[in-house]
Parts: sequence; C-alpha cells; structure tokens
Amino acid sequence: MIKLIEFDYELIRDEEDEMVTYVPDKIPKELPNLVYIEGPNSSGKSTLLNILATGLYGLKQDKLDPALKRQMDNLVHSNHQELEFNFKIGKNNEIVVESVKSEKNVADIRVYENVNGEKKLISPDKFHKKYNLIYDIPQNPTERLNQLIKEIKYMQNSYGKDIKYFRKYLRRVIEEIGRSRNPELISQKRKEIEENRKLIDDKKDIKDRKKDLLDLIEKYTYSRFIREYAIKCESIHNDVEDLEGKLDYKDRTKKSRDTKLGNRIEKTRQKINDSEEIYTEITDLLESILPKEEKHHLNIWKSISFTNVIECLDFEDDLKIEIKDINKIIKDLLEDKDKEETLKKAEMYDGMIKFLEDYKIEDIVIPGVEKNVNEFIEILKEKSEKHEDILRYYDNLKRTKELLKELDDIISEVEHNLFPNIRNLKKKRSEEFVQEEYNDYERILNDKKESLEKNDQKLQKYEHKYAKKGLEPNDIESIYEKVIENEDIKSYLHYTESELNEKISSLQEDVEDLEDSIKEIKLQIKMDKDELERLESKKKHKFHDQKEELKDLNKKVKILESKFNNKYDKYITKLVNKDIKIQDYDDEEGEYYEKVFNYLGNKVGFMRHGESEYKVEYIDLINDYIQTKKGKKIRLSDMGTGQGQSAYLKGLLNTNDDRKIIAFFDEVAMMDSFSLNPIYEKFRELYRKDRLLAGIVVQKADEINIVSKMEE
Amino acid sequence: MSYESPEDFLKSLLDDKDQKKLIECISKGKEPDEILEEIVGD
Repeated sequence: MIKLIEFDYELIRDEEDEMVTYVPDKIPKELPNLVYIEGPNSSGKSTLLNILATGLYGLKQDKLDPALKRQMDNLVHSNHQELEFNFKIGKNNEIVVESVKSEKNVADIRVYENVNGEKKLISPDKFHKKYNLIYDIPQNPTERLNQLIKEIKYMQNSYGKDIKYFRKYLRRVIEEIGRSRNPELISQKRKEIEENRKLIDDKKDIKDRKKDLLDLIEKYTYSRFIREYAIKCESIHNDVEDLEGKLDYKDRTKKSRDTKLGNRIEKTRQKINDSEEIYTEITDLLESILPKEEKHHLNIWKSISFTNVIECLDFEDDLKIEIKDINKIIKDLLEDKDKEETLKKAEMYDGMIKFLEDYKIEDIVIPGVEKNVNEFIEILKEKSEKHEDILRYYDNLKRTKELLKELDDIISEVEHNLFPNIRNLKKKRSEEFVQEEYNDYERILNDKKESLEKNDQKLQKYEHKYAKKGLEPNDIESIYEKVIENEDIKSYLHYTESELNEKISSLQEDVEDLEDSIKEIKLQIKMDKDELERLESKKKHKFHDQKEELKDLNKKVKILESKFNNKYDKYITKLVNKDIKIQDYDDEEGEYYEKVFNYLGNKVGFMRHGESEYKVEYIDLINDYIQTKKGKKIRLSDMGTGQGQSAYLKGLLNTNDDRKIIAFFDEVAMMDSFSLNPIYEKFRELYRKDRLLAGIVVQKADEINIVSKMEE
Repeated sequence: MSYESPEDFLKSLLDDKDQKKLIECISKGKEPDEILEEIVGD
C-alpha cells in the first residue's frame, strides 16, 4: 500500500578510468509527499529531483528552466551514462502516478495514471493538462521573479492555439451553412422560375400576334402582286405581239445609215427608257400613297404607255397632266396638319433610337427611367412601331415627289431638245429613217421581251410563295378582297413592294428570334428546376439563421487570434527579455503591462519583508519594485535574498487552474526558516485542498537529514 | 484589481462579450462545437 513517494534508480556513468554505478543508497527510497531533504554534495539530492522531473515528462514542458532541462536531458540522452528508473507517487493509500524507464539504452519513458483503480498510460499532453509540474532552483530570485511571467506567455500561447483552432472550426461551419439548404435561395429560385414562365407566356403572345400579322401581310402581298404582275405581263405580252407585227411590214433593205440621226434617236430612246423606269417606280409608290378619293389617278397613270413615244415623237398627254395633278395631291398630303404632330413624334423616336444605338454596348442606366440603354431602346422601339407607318408614308410621299420631278425634267429635256432635232433630221433623211425605225422597233421589242421575262419571274416567285402557304390559285381574288378589308392590314396598304417584302422578312426574323428565345428560357427553367430540386434536397444547417451572427463572430475571433498570437505575445516577450524602456510604449501596451503586474501581485499573494508580512498589490517588473496593499513600495534590490526566493516560490505555487501540482525546489540555501515556512504552509494548504500531490525542497548540508513537512 | 484565475486576467484584456465568453469556454476545456453553442445558441 503506497502512502508516499517510492523510487529506485540505477545510473551507470562512464568516467573514463572506470564505470561507476549510482543507486539511491544515501537518501531513503520512500519519502513523505511533503518533504525537506538536506545533505552533502553527491548525496544524490539533485539526481533524485532530475529523475522525478524527467519521469513526469519534464523535458516536454516549455516553461521549465533551461539549465535544469539540460541536466535532465543529459541524464537520458547522453552517451556517457545510462539510466533506468521507476517511481510512484501516491496519496490516500492509492498510486496516483507511476513512471518507468525500464531499459538503460532506450530513452522511452512510460507514465501511468490510476483511473478508477485501473493503471492507464497517459500521454505528455494529457499529463500536462492534468498536472502542473513545478521544478525550479530559485537562484537570484529578484531577477527571476520576472520568470513568473513566462507562465503568462505560456498561457497566452496555449489560449492562442485554442482560439486559432476554434476559428478554423467556425470557418468550416460558415462554409457548411453556405452549402446547406438555403430557404432564401430556394425562394429566389422559385421566383425566377415563375418569372421565366410568365416571360414565356408573354413571348408566346407576342409571337402569336406577329405570326398572325405575318400571315395576313403574306396573303396580302402575294395575292396583290400575283394580280399586278399578271396584268403587267399580259400588257407587255400584247406590246410584244404588236411590235412583232409592225416589224413584219417594214422594209428590211439595207441602206446606209445616217449616223447623226441614229445617234440622236439612240440617245432619245435611252432617255425614254429612263423615264419608263422612273414611271414604274412611281406606279408602285402611288399604290401606297394615293388616298381612296384620288385612286382614279392611279388608273389613268397605269394606262400610260411609252411604246409609241419614239415613233410619234411625243409623250402621251395623260402623262404630263398626271405629273402635274399628282404633284399637287402630294403637296396637299405633305401639308396635312392633322398628321403633323404624329409625324414629329415619329421623327423624335426614330432620332432617339438612332442616337442611342451608338451606346448600346455600354451598361449605362438612364436617370429618371432607371433602365439601361438596351432596355430603353426596346421601349422606344415599341412606341416607335406605332408611328412606323406614318414615317414610312411621309418618306414615300417625299420619294414620289422627287421621282415626279426627275421624270418631268427628262420629258422636258426630250421634248424641247431631242424631239425637234430628230424631226429636222428626219425631214432631210426620210428614206434612211426607215432602216433606223426598223432598228429601233427591234431594240424596243428586245427590251419588252426582257421586261416580260423579269415580270414573269416575279409573278412565278409570288405564285410559288402563295402556293407554299397552302392557298388555292382560284382563291387569289377572294383572298385579296377579304384581306384588304381586315383592319390590321390597313396601315400596310401604303407599303411598296420592297417595303412589304422587307416587313415579311423582318416579321419572319422576329418570329424565329422569339421561338429561339422561348426555347432558351425553357432550357433555363429546366436547369433552374433541377437546381431547385437539388437545393430542396439539402438539409437546413442548425446555425443557418445565425449565419450573419457567425460572420460577425468570425471577425471578432480573428481579431482575438491576432491579439494573442501577435500583439500580446510581442508585449510579454519584451517583458520576459527585459527589453522595455520606460515610456517607450503606447497606452494600449502600457495598460497591458499594468494588468500583468497586477496579476503577478495577485499570484504572489503575501510576502515577508523584514519582520512583517505584506499583501502584495502589484509587482512592477519594468521599474523593479513591489507595491503592497498598504501602500508600501519595496524595491526588488532592497529585498533580502531569502525573502525574494520565498516570494518567487510562492508565486510559482499560486496557480489558479485545476491541475494538481507536483513541486520540486532545489538549492534553497539562501532561505531561512522565516522564508521557508510560508512555502511549507502553502504546500500543506494545497495538499489539504487536494491541489498538491508532492512537494520536495532540497538544500545543501553536511549531513543527510530528511524532514517530513506533512505536519507543522 | 484582483484576479481569481488566469482566465480572469485574460478576460480583463478584452472588451467584447463574445471574446470574453470564448476565453471562458476555452478555460473550461470546452470543444469548439460546445463553444459555438454557448456563444450563439439560445
């Protein structure tokens, strides 16, 4: 049954001339838990303390005095000596800890702990968390009071590590929350899906409307131009037949050609061709611009022919009359006050769109409407579409006016210069003219045939498109009549052929774009639905609702980690190394030292000075003095060595954590009984409170003397 | 100023209640998950 400290060891040392074996033959192998040992040099006192501290993982404890650690390390790791030992420390009839180094040449030390009657191996980390090993030689104690703050450094570092560890955990939790079920994200995703569904409905509506309009315009365009080109082809065909008849009766005798007359006729014929081309373009425009009440002009206009102009050397009167009449109608239409305001609006929208198109790529938000440029252009286009017809209508009016002037100028030039000239030349060269006339009819015939081919191709193109829509050829008239009565086509009745074809292409593109866009949104919805399913399958993190709180906490912990691992560590290191000059620090650093000095005062508790004992308030290790509660200021240099040792050792024993203390003090020679008694009293107090497991004080003397300090 | 424990000393260096609580929890040997519960839990 163990009641105290039991130990044994064997140390074999190579002393060059011999191998010497040391065993505990002077100090008893059983000692009380609290004991004072004195003895001469080489009696094994320090060896015993070194073995006990080494056996309690002292080499793995940062705060032990480096000189002592070197001695301990020398015992187990040097080449000139080999050690084996075992010891047990017990209390209340039970072994509490046991340490064994069973092989001399192996450094391995095993420490066991009694856990509910069972002997269990304990690791160094765990041991130091449960037991506080204090091993010290209180030499030069006033200087070494400073070493007490090493404990603070050690403690700060230990907390710093735990804070860092906690912050890592906290960061992981925040990341986990990010990956866990997020109700806000789920709700956002649902909203996006709903909005996209609505967008599809809207786009489908627009697409359907555009498709209906496209169908209507296609029917109108195809039926209208099938009718028009059929009439045109028939008319040209008749002209061709007429010309072919005329050519049959002409004298085909080759005669010398009058070059001057021929050149003049050729030039005139070219001018007439130009005027016919302009006439055709005007005809197309008149279809779209003439109001109903003026439509009879269109009929007269269409009846005009250029076939006999070169033969008669005169343009039809109707042509000249209609140019004047139609010009007047256009003038009135351009000055129509009712449409003036609408035209201004239309021009404004058109101008704004053209201007903004240059800034399309830049994501600029337009103040007031809070839309970016692209979105604003779309709004303007939507508005502008309503006025598109009026703009087009006015453009067509202006274009017709220009063309009429051009036509009128050509006619005037031909009538005033070319025709009289030809007439004069003809009078002189009537015979030669027959050949010229024949050549001329042939050219006209070729032109007519070419025109017939072109118009026929157009007719076939429209017939093909018409058939492609699944419409019956016999229904052309009825479809045309029906379509022009439809309100939605009214504004397109002014359109020219090319404008109508452009509109058809643009509507086809719009419909295709809308279909693509709908497809894209459908795909987006599918992806969003998959994402939603994935989000919904996740479990909500228990700290989800505190996510913001955790982020704030993370910031605070980061600051704390930096304080403990950087700032406070720097301050305490300066204090340990006595590397501080007075007033060489700022308020924060000063406040820190102030608190450290208070803490030290609190730790030492009471101290003896002269004949009296004082409660310590404050130990200033920068200015080297102790402030007592009663206001006494004791300079460290004025303190007796023994008193200093006593204060220092008490400081070491005044720990406030729950760990059990195992304390070994060597070389306390400078301390008298006045100074040592407070230490023994502290031993006994801690032992009674179950805060101390063993306390050994060792001192040099001539004789071996072992004194139990269990009782006063 | 008196300190009952090293933890009191360390807490005296800090102003923020959460930071103080963290020091308190570490000194009691609590694991990170327990500490988090203690600070942000109900």
